[in-house]
Amino acid sequence: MIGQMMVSSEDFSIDIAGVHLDPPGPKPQNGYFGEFGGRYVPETLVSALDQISQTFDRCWNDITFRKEFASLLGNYAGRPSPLTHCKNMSSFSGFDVYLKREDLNHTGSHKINNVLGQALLAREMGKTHLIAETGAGQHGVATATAAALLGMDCTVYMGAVDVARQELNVFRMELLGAKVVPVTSGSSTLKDAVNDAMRAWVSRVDDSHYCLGSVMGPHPFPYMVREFQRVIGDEAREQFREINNSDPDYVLACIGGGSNAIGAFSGFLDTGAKLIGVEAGGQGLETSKHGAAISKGAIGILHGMKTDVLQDSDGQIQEAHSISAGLDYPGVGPEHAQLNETGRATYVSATDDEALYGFAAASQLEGIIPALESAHAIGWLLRNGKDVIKPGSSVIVTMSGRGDKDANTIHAEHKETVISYVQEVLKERSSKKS
Amino acid sequence: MKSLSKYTTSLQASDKKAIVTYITAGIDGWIDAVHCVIENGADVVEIGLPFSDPVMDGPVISRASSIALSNGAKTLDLLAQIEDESFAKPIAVMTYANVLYSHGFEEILTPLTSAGVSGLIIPDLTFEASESFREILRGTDISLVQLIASTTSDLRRDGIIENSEGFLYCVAIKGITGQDVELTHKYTEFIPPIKAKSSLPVYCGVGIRTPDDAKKLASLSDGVIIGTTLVEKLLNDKKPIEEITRYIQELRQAVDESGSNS
Repeated sequence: MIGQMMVSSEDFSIDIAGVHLDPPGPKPQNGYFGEFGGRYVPETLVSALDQISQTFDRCWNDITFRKEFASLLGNYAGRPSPLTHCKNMSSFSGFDVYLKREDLNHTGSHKINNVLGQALLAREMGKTHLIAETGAGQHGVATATAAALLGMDCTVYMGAVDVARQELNVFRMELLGAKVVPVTSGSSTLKDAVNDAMRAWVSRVDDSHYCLGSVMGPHPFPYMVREFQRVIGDEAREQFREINNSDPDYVLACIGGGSNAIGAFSGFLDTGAKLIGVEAGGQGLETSKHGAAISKGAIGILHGMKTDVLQDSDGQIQEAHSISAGLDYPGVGPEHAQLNETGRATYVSATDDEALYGFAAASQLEGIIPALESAHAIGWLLRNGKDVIKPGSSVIVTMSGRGDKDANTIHAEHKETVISYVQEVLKERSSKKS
Repeated sequence: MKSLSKYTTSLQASDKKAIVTYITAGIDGWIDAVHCVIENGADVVEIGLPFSDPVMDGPVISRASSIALSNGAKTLDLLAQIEDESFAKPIAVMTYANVLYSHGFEEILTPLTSAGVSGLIIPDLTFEASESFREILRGTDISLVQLIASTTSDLRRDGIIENSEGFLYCVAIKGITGQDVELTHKYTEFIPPIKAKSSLPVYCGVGIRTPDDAKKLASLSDGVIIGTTLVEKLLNDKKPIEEITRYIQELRQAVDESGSNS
């Protein structure tokens, strides 16, 4: 059922099924965000990228397409997602904390926003098969879901290491009718899954759409995925204004490829809010085991884009490391590289240990079990936020996904650490009460 | 005209179809393999500088790249080895954009020139993305070979054909290196118009495995590019040089039988 609808033909903003879509955002010039982005792909794919670009430009400025997208976000994915004011976490941390609840979306993360948009676009282009890469499995599950909904075939490439650590998500994808292909090349993680998904796309470009899961890859993906995800930030801005009649001081989000972060940031670029991205610090930025492409990488060319990349002096891409499969990626979306360069956003990192702390703290303080990815943002805020953010500041944190998918791994590998953090939080909480 | 273009057009003028052979640098026996293909009939050798994330390559060449990197292969060392060998036929380097970019598109020219490299093939550097690099290469004798595919739009086709140097690399299949090619009517449809437009020789590559495939594609073009089968022999065979010798000789015969240039 479609709810009350308001459409402005002037600026293409839309209100439908409780979902508001702002007018389309700015398009990168020739596919570049400053010097970042572009299109570095095998020649066979160029015409497919042109087709996506042209179809997206047409559809994104077409009221019928926008209505269908917004209606799916509302009636199928469950948007708008709430902005939860976290009183316990606020008194615990000294900041005024709000969580943007992408964890409450259908399929459990923000990934569904982008996937519904791209699946509709694939249908417009007459494609019958969706290809996707996945790290944590969230994007794979979301793509398999959209494929099931629109009656398309779906193949998901997933690093063999991730297949093992996200067994339940593999089953969910299979249940939804997708074929999951374990990738054993390279480090057998997200980076290698992207390689194999691109190879598969080169080989089946006629009937297939590569439903890329983040604001990365060749143009138009970083731009198009940002546009499908900007509903996160646009919603959060209006929700915050409704409560406080102002804009937040800070917007905070975890960064792998960076789609939940860019979605959140794009709603606040024109406000006074300071933007902070939290990269995977892994075992520490002083080690080689992390995923902090902005903090520790150099400009390079990977997966179709020019951006900050973890690489050695010979241009070989280094393996990333993170406790969360979704942040285990050696590059970052090109718009983030630009936001970092211009200083509009700041990028910090949280270690595996800090993420476990965030995981425990959000669960104990608010009754919200976060995805390990989102737990990086929470962990950084609670452990290191005071170094950067003044006490009393208002902070929106994107809860990019829910933590059910991580419960097994954490139970098996980090149970004692997490339980000790829960005790620590409980103790500190009760000492603050008394 | 740059020296690689002169060389390939002279082959074309003398009615000789070309064989370009690809070998991944840095795997065991690669230097012997390059000498071997040259002695047995290759006209140009494409030497692959390994990259960690080769998205245009299938499992065989990807594996070769990983092995080369775990052997400790480094771009500048490999170029120094190419320089030392002074191979008897033109050498083109095939690698991915980041390998050159990380050294600097200008800075890498000195070691490339010293190594005697006369051509570059960079499958992820599209025609549009190569603009500034083409400018840098203008004053040098290094040719940037452009790739063209069956999916290339008419709008972009002419620019690619006009701006290629050395030869025009026609991607024969919709796929990655090492995939089995099915020679359907599509190939006979998309290659001839490209050849008709190109003032440079057109060589077909990607997915060509058997001498029979090579013969069919050479009959439509000016030559063929062969890689995966050679690398496979180098990685897997007990006596790879003997196998490669036999294979190249068969290939030479098949390509020579493919008919004269029209």
